[in-house]
Amino acid sequence: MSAAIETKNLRKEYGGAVGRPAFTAVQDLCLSVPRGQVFGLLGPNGAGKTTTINMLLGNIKPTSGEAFLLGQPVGNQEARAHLGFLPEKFQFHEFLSAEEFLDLHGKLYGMSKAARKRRIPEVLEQVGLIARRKSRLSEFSKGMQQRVGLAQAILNDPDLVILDEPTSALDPLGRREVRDIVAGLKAAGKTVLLNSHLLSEIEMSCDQVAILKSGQVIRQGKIDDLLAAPTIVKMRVQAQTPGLITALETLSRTVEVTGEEIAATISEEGAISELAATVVGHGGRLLSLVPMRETLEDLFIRVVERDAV
Amino acid sequence: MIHGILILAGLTIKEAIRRRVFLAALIISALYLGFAFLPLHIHVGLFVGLDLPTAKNNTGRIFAWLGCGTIKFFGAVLAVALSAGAITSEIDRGVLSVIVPKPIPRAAIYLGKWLGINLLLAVCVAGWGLLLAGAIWHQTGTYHPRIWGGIAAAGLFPLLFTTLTLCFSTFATYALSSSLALIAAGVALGEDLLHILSRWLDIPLLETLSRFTGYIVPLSRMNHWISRGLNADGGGTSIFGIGHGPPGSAGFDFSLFLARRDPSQAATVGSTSEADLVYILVYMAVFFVLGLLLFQRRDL
Repeated sequence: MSAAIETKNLRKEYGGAVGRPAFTAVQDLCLSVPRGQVFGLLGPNGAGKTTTINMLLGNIKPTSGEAFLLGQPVGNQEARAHLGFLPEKFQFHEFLSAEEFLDLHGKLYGMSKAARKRRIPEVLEQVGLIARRKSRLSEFSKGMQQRVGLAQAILNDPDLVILDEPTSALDPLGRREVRDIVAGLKAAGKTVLLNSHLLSEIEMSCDQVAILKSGQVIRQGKIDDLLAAPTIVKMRVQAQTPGLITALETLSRTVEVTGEEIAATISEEGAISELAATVVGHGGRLLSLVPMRETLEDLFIRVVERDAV
Repeated sequence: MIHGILILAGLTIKEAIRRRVFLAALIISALYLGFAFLPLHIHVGLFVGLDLPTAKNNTGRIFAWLGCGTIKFFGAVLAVALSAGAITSEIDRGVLSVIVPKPIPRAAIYLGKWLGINLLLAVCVAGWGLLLAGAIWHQTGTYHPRIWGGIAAAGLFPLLFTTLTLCFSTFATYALSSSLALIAAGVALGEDLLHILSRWLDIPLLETLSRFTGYIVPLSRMNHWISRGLNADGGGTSIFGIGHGPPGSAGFDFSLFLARRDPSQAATVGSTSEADLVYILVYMAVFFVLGLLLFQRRDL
């Protein structure tokens, strides 16, 4: 089965007219998003994420290269019928009520009246707006508008959902609801492309990520593969002895002791259990042991800053 | 495609109604109600010394002429107001960002907006036309079906300005699109101005420039068609011609009426041809297709 999203040397240049140098927003992007996965698109501001999404949606025409959605070339009507999209920047027709708004988009998706009647309450329930279904969008807060936008994106039960900063206006509860919706979509075998600056959310929701910088993919893969193995282990140990510290030093590259706290830098993940055994073996009372795993944010900063040097 | 066009036409109409376009149209309608109840024929009868049937007939002529003028003016103003922000402004505000990725051709969005705005304006023009015909009937006691010829020709103005401004809005902001439409109207005014100046100063070059200007924005051609619509055949028989007007009246020759304003106009109305109408329609078709192509090709 074809990938949900595939790009081949996708490129977008702006300008280049008389006397003005061309600006390359996206450079020969090759991306493959497998079906049924939640894929995170990361990058600093101006990395080309939104331009990439707009090219995938057919809103922006690429300078060169190709892109395919659900196995069809970008812009294909059939593929679009199975696509849901929530843009980062939006303004809905505020004179419509939530129900009327979703009914309009259901019609644009080509959904039957019966399907719209069944599906609209379902999605409003999912985004927590069922009680406000008759309210005009003009009465909605920014966060509520984002929720109704999300409802619009999943209204047609799409196979591929593209969410561009879906939680930017949401409170922590709203963010958790979006995470739950994304998890539900994944459980239903749908593909989700998530563009967000909230790296903790990407880390919690995504199977794979691609980090873009200056229009190029600088890292791509499964999150577990990209994040470095834990290198620092923090322990709280009582009844420490000089022999215990010496033994820990033989297992670690460095050991720092601050009262009950011991921070050991190790070379490989397998050393963690040996550290615990050594503490117990030397009569120490091990109160806690926390391997300090690299976060997606650490990785992001590491690769973006390193490439900047 | 048709499905998408109709949905978007409906949305455009709903949006326009929410923007109180009909309220504006109702306010404009008050003007025609004013026509109906102005005691103009008494004024004319008293001070110009005409008998009442002739004064009433004159009133009818003036109302027909003024009415069509106001329909074309307000129709064009509404057309510019509704079309100028239809594309680029909606893209900038993010309104189109959730509509464009839907499974409808991009052309359907443009066509839907064009159709929606024009349907709305057609309703306005028809309503104003009814009020105008009613006002004339109320003042003269006679129904003049020929008035609809003039109203139909006046309806070309909102149609042209919608097409032109929607085309501009594919690449320009609201302010710039409406400014370009105003410039177009200004250029069209130049045709008459240059025409008058060429006769007044006797400079043939100005006449050539006037004709050239008339091709750039053919508003004068449309004006001539209003005059022709109000007359039976472009000069001779009038909407208030003999047999149709009040007993004893001399009938109304619109060409003669115009000729008193500007002698050159009578000849122009007389020379209005179907080719002009074809040119107007082709002109609109060109801008319609141009706007469609620009919208299809532009990045959103």
